[in-house]
Amino acid sequence: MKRTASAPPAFPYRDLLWEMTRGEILMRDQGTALGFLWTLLHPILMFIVLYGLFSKWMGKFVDQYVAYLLIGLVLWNFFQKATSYALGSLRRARGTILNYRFPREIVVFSSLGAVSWSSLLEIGVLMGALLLLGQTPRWTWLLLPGLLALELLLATAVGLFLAVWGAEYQDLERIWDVLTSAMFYMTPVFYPLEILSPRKQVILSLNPMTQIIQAFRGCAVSGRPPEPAALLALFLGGLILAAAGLLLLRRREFEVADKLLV
Amino acid sequence: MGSDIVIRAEGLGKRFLIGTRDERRTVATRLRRALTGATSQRELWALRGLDLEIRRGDIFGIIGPNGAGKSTLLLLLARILAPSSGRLRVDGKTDPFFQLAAGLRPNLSVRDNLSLCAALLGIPNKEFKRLLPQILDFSGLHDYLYARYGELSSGLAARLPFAVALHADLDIILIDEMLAVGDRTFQAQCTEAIKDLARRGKTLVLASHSLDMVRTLCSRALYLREGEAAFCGDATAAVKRLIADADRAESRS
Repeated sequence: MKRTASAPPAFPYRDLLWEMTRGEILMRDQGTALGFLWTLLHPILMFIVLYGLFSKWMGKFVDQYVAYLLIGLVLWNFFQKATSYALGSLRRARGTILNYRFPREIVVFSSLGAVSWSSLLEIGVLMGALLLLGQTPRWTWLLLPGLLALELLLATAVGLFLAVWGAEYQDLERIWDVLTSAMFYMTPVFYPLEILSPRKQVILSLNPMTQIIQAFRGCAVSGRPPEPAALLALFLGGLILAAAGLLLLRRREFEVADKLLV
Repeated sequence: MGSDIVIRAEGLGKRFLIGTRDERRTVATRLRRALTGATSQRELWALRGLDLEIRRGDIFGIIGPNGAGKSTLLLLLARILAPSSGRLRVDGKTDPFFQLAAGLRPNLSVRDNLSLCAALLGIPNKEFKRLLPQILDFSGLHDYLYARYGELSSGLAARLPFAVALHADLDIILIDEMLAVGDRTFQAQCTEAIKDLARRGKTLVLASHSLDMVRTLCSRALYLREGEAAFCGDATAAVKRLIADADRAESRS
């Protein structure tokens, strides 16, 4: 049962991560301007529909509803795309995994990297839109990259688990689709938290995406910095979960290879 | 002398759990199994009780009919799969080439695929840039550098990973039926390259159906039959055994 390697290969993982991420980005057609416009279409369409339906109603509770909705959609999309893309990553990389020996987490990280790239472009567009809407840059904007990094950390943590389980169970992709659809409505993306009963507000506040989206809105629009305690808890939780996910992937590496092979 | 052995297997076995035909691996079936306690999985031993020693600088052949466990053995040696039983010791940096173009990206250019392949094989980017002219010379892909990889003919496509791998500083090179592709010139080139690698103290393990190649290139060979070693030793003798078995099976049918 024992396998020993007296000379562990010293791979330059950084180059590999870069090459694979770049490959993923080009493969998803985001290397081209047209490809990027194509990915923007989904959030824009969502925005038009939700804004058309709810602007009058929600506008009573939030000023700047356009900015409110845009931020919610872009940040939610990032999480949703990153986790579902990570879920299928090991399965998609079957050929690579069965032909080359390298740390398997690079597959997951490169998928997350590709999604991060497209989301970063979306956020660039979002910030442009905020300026057009009359927002002026404030010092709290400096906190926004940190919030995005926190969201990436959470997506990585969830994505690592999903990638391992997704290689094993073929229907997990469908299940995660359903779960994220439900989560979309349980996150204040297009409605303000305040319209719910206090008890429900508490429940929804436990959703990490609620915390991140609300903090982003606070920093970007109202110039209100987030409460550090909640975000610190999220950061530590995300760190622990990501470490656990990494450990799971390393432990299950050979089982995953078996599953991909037969 | 003991330190010369770079691959040592003792009682090596590999078992796969395969689902029955009409059942897919899903959360739903897993739940049903947990509730009913019924197991739908069947064991398949792809490799069993294998003892093997391969020395540094050997060109070692693996032969046997389809499904005999050749690829499984290479995947174990490459540390891509883990053994289910026995011990395996592999000293040195290794990487296999199985399905050649697997893992590469047909939509990207040959140049992009070369650098991806190099990164997968652990060649640092700086080193890759230095090696690129040599790799291109060997593969003859100069004129196709910016062509889409997927547009190359299968023979040309096969040259890419092989050319890169020959320039990666691997200690043990595992090859699964790769010289079958490529034209005579490239095959001859590869044969030369393989001999040269062995002279430089690299170890090569070739799994092949091309018995002539195994006979001429390899000093020793393993003949696998239904996951077990039918013969291990002199390459010519191993090939003879396999041909004798195949003839017997044919005359019986």
